[in-house]
Amino acid sequence: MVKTMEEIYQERVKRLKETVLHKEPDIVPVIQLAETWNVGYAGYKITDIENNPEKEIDAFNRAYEEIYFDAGLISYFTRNVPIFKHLEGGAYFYSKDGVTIQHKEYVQMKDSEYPQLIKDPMGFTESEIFPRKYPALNKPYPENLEALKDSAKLWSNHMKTGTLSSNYAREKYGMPILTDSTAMAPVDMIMDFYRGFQGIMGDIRRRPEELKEAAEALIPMIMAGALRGRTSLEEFPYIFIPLHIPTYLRPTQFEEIYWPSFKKVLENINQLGGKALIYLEGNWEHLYDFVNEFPKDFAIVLMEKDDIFKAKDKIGKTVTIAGGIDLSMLKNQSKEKCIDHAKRVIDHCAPGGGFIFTTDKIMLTATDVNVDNLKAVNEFVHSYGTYR
Amino acid sequence: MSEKPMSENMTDEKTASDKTINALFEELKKDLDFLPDNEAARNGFIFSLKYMLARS
Repeated sequence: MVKTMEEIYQERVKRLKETVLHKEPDIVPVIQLAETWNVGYAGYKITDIENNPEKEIDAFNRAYEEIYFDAGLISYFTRNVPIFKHLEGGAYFYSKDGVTIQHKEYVQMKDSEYPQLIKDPMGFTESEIFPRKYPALNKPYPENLEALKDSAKLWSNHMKTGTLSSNYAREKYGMPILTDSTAMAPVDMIMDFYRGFQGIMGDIRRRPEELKEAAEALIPMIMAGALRGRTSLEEFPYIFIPLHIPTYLRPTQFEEIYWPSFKKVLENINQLGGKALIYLEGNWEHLYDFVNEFPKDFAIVLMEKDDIFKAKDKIGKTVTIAGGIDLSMLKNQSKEKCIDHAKRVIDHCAPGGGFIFTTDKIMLTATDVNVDNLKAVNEFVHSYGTYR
Repeated sequence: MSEKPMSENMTDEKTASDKTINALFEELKKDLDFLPDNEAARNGFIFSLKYMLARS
């Protein structure tokens, strides 16, 4: 009997839930890590589809037609760049060739302003950071209000597109979308949107107490952003948490500065019933002791530069390891070599559950991989990675 | 990725606007005709907008 798309969707979600609990599911799940790659794959540039929900939904779902996946990372653009055009600022912009969304480093907060950030994070951000970051807000009234209104309308449409696209993926392809909201580690948030990389590295040495206090102060705002009005969370979809600075920190710096507030974010999500999809950007091998302090069976960790075999052995009983193949291998190696590698990864990482097969990085441009290799590897994993 | 070590807009001067940013958001909250006429829904939307702008 032919399965309905809803049955296929539920089967895939079950597969993911079981492996996160370190139970062996029926098959190793294969997930798609991609954002703007989807746009290029569907034959568009970003500018062809911006503020066109139908085309955006088409672009973000096209690959499911031809390539095997058990789930996709996201169903729409993570950023709506036109919002920032109306406000004449922000960190995000299109690449010159119109195929990726890029960001520039901003330093919007002075080190002397930590007390204000600590006292009232959103109030300070709104009154002091927004006017610096978004020059349109400094225009005479009501021009500034009109700019804000235009941005608000785009933001509302953007969120609706995300929901529509996730529903479309579920109904047409039985495809779960892994994330529906994002959290941040507080110290990363301070680096990314207030102090910049150089600034925060200096603050770690010169202002550690203020930095730690500010990180603690940001937790309620980060949790409210992740919850999106909910009072509890489900096991699926996951809260996405990309982690940026830890790869540059020594374990002692991580333990003192980064870990206390980040650990509270993880514990909050866990206590509310949710689970996290955490991108360990860079290499985390020097921080595995801390990963082993994550709540057990709570997180999927996407591995970028770590040795996945070693990671499975060292942290694989605490978290679910997600990774297995480099974009560069999929782009440059033969199909046979890619499949041989995938086989070795499955043989080592799949036993006992707690493993998801995917790429090491989020695919951004159509040329990031050889699509024939990606198709072949995903089909191989889906057929070879059986448990029963 | 290009880098900008310090924002050109980062000065000690307050904004030139004749309404505070908070007042703009309050006015926005009342004006948005695509939102339901419900205080909680409007507050939720305004928070999500502010949080997105803080993270961009």
